[in-house]
Amino acid sequence: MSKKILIVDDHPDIVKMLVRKLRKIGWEYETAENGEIGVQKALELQPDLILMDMQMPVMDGREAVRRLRKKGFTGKISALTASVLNQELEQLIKDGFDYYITKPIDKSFISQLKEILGTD
Amino acid sequence: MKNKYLFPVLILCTGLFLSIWFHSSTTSQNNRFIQQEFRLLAENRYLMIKESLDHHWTVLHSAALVFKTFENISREQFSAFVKPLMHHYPNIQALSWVPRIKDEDREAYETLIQKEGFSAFMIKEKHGKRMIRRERSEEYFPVNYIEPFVGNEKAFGFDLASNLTRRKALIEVRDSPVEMLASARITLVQEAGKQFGFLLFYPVFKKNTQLSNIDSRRKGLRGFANGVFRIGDMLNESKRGNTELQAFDITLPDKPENLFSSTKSPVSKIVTKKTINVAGRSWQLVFTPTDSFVKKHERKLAFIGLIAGVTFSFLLSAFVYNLLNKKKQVEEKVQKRTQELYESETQIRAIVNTAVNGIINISENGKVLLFNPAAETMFGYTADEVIGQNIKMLMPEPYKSEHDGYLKKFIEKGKSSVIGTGREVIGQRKDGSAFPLYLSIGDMQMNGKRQFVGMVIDITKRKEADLELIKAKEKAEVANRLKSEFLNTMSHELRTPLTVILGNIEELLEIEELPDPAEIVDISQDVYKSGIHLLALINDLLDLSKIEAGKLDFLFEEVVVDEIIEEVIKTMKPLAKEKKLELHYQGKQHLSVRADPLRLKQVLLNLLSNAVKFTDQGSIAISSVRDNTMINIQIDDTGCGMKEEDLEFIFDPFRQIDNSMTRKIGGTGLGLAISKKIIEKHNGSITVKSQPDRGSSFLFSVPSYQGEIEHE
Repeated sequence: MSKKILIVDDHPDIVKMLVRKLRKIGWEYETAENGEIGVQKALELQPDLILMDMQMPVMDGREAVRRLRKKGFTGKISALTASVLNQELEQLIKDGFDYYITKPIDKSFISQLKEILGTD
Repeated sequence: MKNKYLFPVLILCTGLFLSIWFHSSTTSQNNRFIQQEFRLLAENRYLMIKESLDHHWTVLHSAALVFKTFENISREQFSAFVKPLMHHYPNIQALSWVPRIKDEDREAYETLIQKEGFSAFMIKEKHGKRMIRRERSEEYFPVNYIEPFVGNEKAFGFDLASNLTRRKALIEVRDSPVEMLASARITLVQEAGKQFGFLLFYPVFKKNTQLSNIDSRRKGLRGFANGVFRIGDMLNESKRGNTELQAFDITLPDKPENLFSSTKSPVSKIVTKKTINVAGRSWQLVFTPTDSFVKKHERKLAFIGLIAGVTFSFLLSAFVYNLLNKKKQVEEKVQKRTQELYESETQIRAIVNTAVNGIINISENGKVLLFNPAAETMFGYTADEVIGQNIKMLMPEPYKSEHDGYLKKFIEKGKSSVIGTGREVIGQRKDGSAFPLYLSIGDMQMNGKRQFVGMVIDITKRKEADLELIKAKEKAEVANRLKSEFLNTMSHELRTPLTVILGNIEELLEIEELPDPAEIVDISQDVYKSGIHLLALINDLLDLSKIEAGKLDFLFEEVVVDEIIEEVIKTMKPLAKEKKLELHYQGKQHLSVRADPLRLKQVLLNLLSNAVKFTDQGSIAISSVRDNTMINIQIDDTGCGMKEEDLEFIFDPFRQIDNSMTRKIGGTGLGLAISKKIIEKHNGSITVKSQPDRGSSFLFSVPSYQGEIEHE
């Protein structure tokens, strides 16, 4: 079953790498280079899952989630973070994220997404 | 020590003197009193004696008058006349008539008397103890009539002239123009041993006798009325029990004769002497008081006074001695205590004056009572300026206005958060400046009134140190936070290229699932790029940490500015050309700096590449200029510029303003931080000026080359 994923990340090489993986399993995808564009696209496309980078110019991940939740977005949002501090990771859930995936991603990345979306 | 005895002895002497004086004065006064009293008594008795004697003379005079008047009076008539008189005057031993008998009439006279019935009568004289017939003489004076006759028989016919004493008296009274004459004392035959007597002769002359003519008197003498008197009885008659009497016949002053003595030895020195004329003789009457009189009038007061005085003197003296001793002890004690107090006071004063902490003592209404030198130094006031003033003058507002209220509240309620403890407050100096001080207050009672003692410590320095400590702590905390932030950021920065590398390589791990060759090349290029970035990051991090740890070696030498800038421009030219940017150097001043050429080139490359990266159109200009001992090198661009608030962080690690820019342009975010460190190692500095969309201008300075290069 095809899923629609929105990738919000300012690093083009990372976006490119993630797109390769999604394309391979046949899922739909959309990309945004900062939080502001991300919010806009998420409300417009209503993706099944948003993969949200944290440190971005213009609008960071945290602010983007806050805005989405404020505007009634109920879809799943997973943080994609390079942070390793437990304190920061715990804070993500409080900020409105449903999950977090840490960088660098490993081989289980796709199965992690499937698990989040409840598909095989 | 001398004083200890002087005063008591003085008192004793004075006391004794006064006692004795009192005694003697009282005694003599008493004596005078007794003497006066006694003199009156004696006088009285003397008068009585005199009166008594006069009476006796009168008796004899009366008897004589009888003979004078009646020439031939009979024995019976005489007796009848004299007897009643003598009954009244029992002290008269005898009254007699002694006629003058001439020798030729002797026998006739004797015969006449014998015829009268006295057959044995004769004119006789005393011979030894016997009476014998009187030997022949010119004339005789025999005792004839005698009353009382009984008991006087022996004298009957006795010729008075036969006895020398009596004859002298008889002759004297016959020849002297006196009325009568007394004899010296005689021993009374009847009263022998008991008392003396005396005779009183009263001459009786014939009528027509010229009494003033001796011859006429001798011829006209008929005889004598003779009285025999008992001296003792006569004098004793007036005895009253208070006086003793001694009588002397002092007619011959050289040979006084004792007449009478009522006592064997007079007991008192009080004497009253009276001389009385007894018919031509002088008797001295010596009156002395009797034992009982003396005892009766003796005043015990004087003696008691003496004893009491002496006793009192001793007691007083002893008491004063004791008192002085005690006084001295007390004085010594007081002196010692005073000395101790003085020392203690001096010590406390010295402590207060020496104390490094300010000591201020105030009354319950806030008046300053004590202000020690340390407090003077602290507040800039002298003690004189503060003492008597309200303590609030040492406080700034609002404490100044509130202080009276605090005091009042404490006095009323007895509760305060300050008393007994200490706390930090603000003080105000004379010059008006405020300063922090630590104040501890104790309260005490002085003379029933409450007082407060404040100990003040100027804590300006401590406060400053505290502040510096807090600053240092904050700085350390900031450094720590920055370090941990830096590590977090570094981790993030390293993970990003690693994510690209690992995520892509995954696609090439299964030979069955290999993508097409064009895709493989694309993946490989991405992986390679990220690897290169990762290497640059690691190199920059190493550089930075080496510089910070001081482990990066700098080799200073003379570096010609023009040369090194030209070199860098040569390197950067292709990139600038690619972006169609002008790159020019204004300078050529032939300046040289003292620098490590490799590191200086690194800085120039970093700044120049940044300028090229962030500038999309326009030009980049480099200039160099001497500023005193420093050489200033400036790089200006016409790029995107930066906001004012971002400028202060620009030299911190990983503080790129816009991460997206980095993504596009590359760079580690450590270049400026490294450049700054390098410049600082050259004893130079780097600054930045920028305006958004107008461009940035980086300026750094390094010391000009001065000649010798010292190796570091």
